[in-house]
Amino acid sequence: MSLIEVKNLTVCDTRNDEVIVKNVSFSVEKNTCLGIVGESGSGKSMSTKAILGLINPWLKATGSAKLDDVELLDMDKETLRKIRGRRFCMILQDAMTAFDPLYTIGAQMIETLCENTDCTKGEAEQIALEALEKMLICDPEEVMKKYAHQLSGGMLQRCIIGMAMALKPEVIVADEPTTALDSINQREVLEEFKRLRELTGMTLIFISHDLGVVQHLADNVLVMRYGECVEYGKVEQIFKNPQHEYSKYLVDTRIALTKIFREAMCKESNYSC
Amino acid sequence: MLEVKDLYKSYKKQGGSFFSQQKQEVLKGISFTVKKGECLGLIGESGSGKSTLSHLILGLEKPDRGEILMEGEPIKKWLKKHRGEMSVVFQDYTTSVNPRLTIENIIAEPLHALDRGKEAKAIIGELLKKVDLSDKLMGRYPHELSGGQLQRVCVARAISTRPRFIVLDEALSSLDVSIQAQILTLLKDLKQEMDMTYLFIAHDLQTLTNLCDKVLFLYKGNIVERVHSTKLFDAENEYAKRLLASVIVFGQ
Amino acid sequence: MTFWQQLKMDKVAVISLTIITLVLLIGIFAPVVAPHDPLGTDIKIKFADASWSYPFGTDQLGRCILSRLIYGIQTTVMLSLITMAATIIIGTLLGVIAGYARGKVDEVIMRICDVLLSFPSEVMILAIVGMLGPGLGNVVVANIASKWAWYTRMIRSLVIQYTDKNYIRFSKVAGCSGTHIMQKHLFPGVVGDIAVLATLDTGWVILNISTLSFLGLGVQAPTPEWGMMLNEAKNVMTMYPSLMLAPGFAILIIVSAFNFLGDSIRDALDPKHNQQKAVLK
Repeated sequence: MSLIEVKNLTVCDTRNDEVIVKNVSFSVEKNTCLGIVGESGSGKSMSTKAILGLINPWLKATGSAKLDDVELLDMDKETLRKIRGRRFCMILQDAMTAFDPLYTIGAQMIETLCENTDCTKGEAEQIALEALEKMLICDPEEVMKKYAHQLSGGMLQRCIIGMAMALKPEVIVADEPTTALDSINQREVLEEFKRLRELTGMTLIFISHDLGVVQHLADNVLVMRYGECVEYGKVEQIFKNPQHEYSKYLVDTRIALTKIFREAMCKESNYSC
Repeated sequence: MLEVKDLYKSYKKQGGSFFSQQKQEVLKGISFTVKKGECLGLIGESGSGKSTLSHLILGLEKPDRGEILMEGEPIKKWLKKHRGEMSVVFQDYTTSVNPRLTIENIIAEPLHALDRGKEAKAIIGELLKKVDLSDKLMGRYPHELSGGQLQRVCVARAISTRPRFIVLDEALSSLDVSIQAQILTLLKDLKQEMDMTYLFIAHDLQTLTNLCDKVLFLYKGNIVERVHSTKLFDAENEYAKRLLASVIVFGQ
Repeated sequence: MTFWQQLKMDKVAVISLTIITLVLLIGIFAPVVAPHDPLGTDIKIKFADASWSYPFGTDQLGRCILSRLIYGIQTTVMLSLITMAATIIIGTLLGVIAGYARGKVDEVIMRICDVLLSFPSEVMILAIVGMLGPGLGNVVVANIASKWAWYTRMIRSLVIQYTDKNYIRFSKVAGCSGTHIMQKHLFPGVVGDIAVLATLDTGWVILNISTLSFLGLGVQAPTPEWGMMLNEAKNVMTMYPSLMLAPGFAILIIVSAFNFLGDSIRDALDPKHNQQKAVLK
């Protein structure tokens, strides 16, 4: 039995009857990683938000979304909120705006940790510092004292990811978490995701428009377009042998982008061509 | 064409007292040249001073020390004499256009600045075609367009005055990978067609190698490596090597 | 759709604009419209109830309330508008220049504002009127002097937000002159916010003029003025509460009309908002 099972998820805008997500189905086993790829506006974020009950009040989600065989879509708000806090952790897109501009980073991280786990303030501070170090942030004590507007976008993204990982939830839903990061930081963040999965058996849902990143991390992939599921299956299968035209298009574009880089890196046996 | 000599720029440190002279050095002695017709790529992590450098080159800010010469003249003088020959495409397309203006007015603005407003109407249709947009979009507003479309409008606006030098300040970073590929092709074609020189600033290596001839690595305010984009393996600097090794390639 | 077409579509805006225009017209044509002389006293009929010849009754000196209300428009509403207009013009000009030019010009203007803003506005108004002497003209000058600094600062911060936007940077690089940028980008950007600020302040100005009149520094009795009428009615509040109704409602209606109009203007200037409304329809 899968940890998360979604069947025929449909999200509709009640104001103008527009269908944003149409009949999406997928399942996520425990300790696996599902990658959701697609261009902006394809409904990737909306699907996951709908499962977690984080969509706007005028949007209605129908279908079925089960966590451990318990239906989430018709659950009452309070129970859903507890599940969101304890078992899920969502790293939203545009993590830069996830921090309250009025409080320091450190204060918010400690607050989140204390709120969602049973640790004291002192322990929370330690955990937060460790998390920031793992994200390759030099001088984490300084960073904890700063406010959101004083740090660059990339730095804020790393703080948010560090905090999410420090909570050690069962499921992390990461929505485009590495967009503002350069290659080194991006690689480090992805390695950390991998490590955490091995360590804690965490399940990961990773949303991205970059196929390279998804290929690196995910076991299964769901390709979305215009709110519909275009293709769904194992990563090696879909990326090696895409069946649908749109998947082929995404794969080809990505290969073309990488090709020149790989050729430039080729010399003797130093880098794999 | 463009010569940057020994550039220094610092900002006052935030959080210090009112009278504190503590400065944060963002650029520490940057020097490089861009030859005519070349496309130079500048890569660095967020916070390494890339935007500061682009602002200095565009004449929006003044350096503390050092000089920027365009065709032998100081940049500010050159910009006044050669209005419309330098252009820029920014990363954040949502703030790159005035949300109250229609697409037509947005693209026509640089032409109006040069008192060539009358040609605008004729040219805009052509420009939109060049960037692969339908001219039905002329009367629309920015919020009605998708990210990719809006960035294309910014490109159209940038080339409207037939500039000879364009600064692309992380112009592709906010776009989907598939759209990045489209706009990269567009930029390549335009460069050839209009014989332009590019300075491409980014934090993603794969897009850079697609477009640029030379790549400069910027780390903590210094240029640590200069290498040809087809010979990236020649990189010797530690940081540059680390960056190159960490790129996540897509393999089959 | 142009701004005016947008505004016409908004029912609330149309109603507000109609009310304001009507009030202004009545005020301008007060001698024709008013049934009686606003200054004509007749102690015999004081505190009279509403009747055909005195639609709102009479006040404590037997003057026709309706006539006083109508003539009061000239004092209250028109003076407030003049005050607001002058404050906004000065504040906007200085605010945009300070916000766009930055550097020394900005420093100088801001320090002057700082000094002026450190005085509590009521104290400053009293001081200015005290120096210049009582009278309506001086009240207006005092109001303008105390408020322009606040507007300058507000508008300056709005402008600074805009100058950080990439489209302003692009215009600079493209070689657009400073005046062009201010005209095409900055002014339209801040006009919406100014409209809202200004209309909200109109109520404040109206009340300010009345307060000064009450203290004997502004309008001198027996000139009709709404705030003054409210204050006079206050003295007989327990016996004849209805006397407060007419001026009270008048102030309420006109201030509400301005507030709603301000909101509608801001909405009409925002293209995104219009699109959403159109979609929903």
